[in-house]
Formats: sequence, structure tokens, C-alpha cells
Amino acid sequence: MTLSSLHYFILSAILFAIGGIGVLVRRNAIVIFMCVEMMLNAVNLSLIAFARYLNGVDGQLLVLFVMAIAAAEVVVGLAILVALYRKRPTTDVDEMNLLKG
Amino acid sequence: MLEIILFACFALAAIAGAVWVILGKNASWSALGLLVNFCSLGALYIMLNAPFVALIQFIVYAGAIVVMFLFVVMLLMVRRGEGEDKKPFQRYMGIALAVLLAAGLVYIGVSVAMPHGSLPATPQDNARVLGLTLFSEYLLPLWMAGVLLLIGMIAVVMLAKRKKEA
Repeated sequence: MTLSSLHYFILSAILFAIGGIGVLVRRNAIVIFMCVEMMLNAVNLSLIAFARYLNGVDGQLLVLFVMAIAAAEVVVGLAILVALYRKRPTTDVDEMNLLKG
Repeated sequence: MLEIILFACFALAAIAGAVWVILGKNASWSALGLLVNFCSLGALYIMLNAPFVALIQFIVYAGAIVVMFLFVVMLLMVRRGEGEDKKPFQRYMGIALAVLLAAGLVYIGVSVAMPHGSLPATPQDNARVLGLTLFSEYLLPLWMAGVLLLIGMIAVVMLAKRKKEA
């Protein structure tokens, strides 16, 4: 038995699902952000595994771009959290309901 | 054989880190779990012949992003934690949906033909090949990523600026 891309893909699916559980279950906005980052990383893992088993380099470049986007996303997201925290001191997403009709 | 043992160790570490993130009572504990997850994924990238991406993973994710999360956690110092869950059925629905998602993904992975190229020797010039491709074939996306990062930077400065009280 040798490692194949399927093993990495299954690991990636498990990590993605755990991140999804975190996003759906946790109420703390910072932890939700961490889980989104984990889901991005899970996808990166399968991209790199496919790049390796397709003997190409494009998957690795795609991962570099994903990292750039993720960095921008997390910075803007955390800035929004800090700005929200000034309005009302909580990070509980259930209490951020100003748009609720 | 060694490869399988290493894969199992790092996979378990990654999953443990992920579970640690979603179970952590305190957001700074979750950040530590995130660090474990990112580091073991970086180790897996090295096993997958992607040393340059692994390096970037360690520097950008395990370094910068985890520190930024910790910085925000410390900055906000949330006094009130998460309130008690007002809608407990959401929790079970969320877990059920995520398990369904994982099962579906694994099913697709098993039923579709996965790439299994024979392994070339470890590319000694991984960074050189990446750089050459990045600056020729992917030049336009690279520029766009740069512009995006600049826009993100400006947006953060604008968002974090304290408004003058009128």
C-alpha cells in the first residue's frame, strides 16, 4: 500500500467538514473566522496533492494566489470585527442582528 | 512505509488541531489549535514535493495570520463570551450537514478517478520553476493579486480609523 492522492483528498474533505462544523456551530465571530481559514487550508491541501500527482506546478501557484486572497480577506474581516466591536462590545454573531426585520 | 507513518502522524495532528479550534472555550486557545493545524499542513506540503509553498505556509499562515488572530483576541479582550446557545437545534443541524458534506466529498473522491502520476524525483529547483511560471504565464493574476492586497490595506486603514465625534 502506498499513499495516493485519494488519501490526501479524504484528509482534505475531513478538515473541510470540521471547519464547516465550526462555522455553523460556533457563535464567536473570531472563531468563525479561524474556521473559514481552516476550510481554505483544507482546499489548499488537495490542490497541492493534485499538483504533485499530476506532476505539474500550477496547483502550487493556485495555492499561492489563494494565500494572497486569504491574507487580504482575514485582514479586512478582522478590521470589520474591530469596527463592529466599537459599536457594540460583543463578538457573538447572534447579537449582530441590526438587519433583522 | 515511513511515508505512510509520517502521513498518519501529520494527518492526525491536523485533525486534532482542527477539533481543538472548534472545541476551544477561549478564542486564544482556538488560535493555538489553528497553529497546530497550519504547521502539520505545512509538513504535509513538504511530503508532497512543495517545499516553497510549505515555507510560505509557515511564514504567512503559522506566522502572520495566527499572530493577527491573537492580536485581535487580545485587543478586544471580550468580557462577555459566547452567550448560551438560544437555538440548540442549529447545532445538530450544523453537525449533520457537515458530516453529510464530508461523506459526499469522500464518496465523490472514491468514485471518480483520482490522478496518480508516477512520482518524479524531488524537484530540487521548486522555487525556480514556480518563479519562472509565476512571472511568465501567471503575470496578470500576479499583478491583480498585488492590486488586491493594496486595496485590502487601504480598506483596513479606513475601517480602523476612529471617526471624529460630531
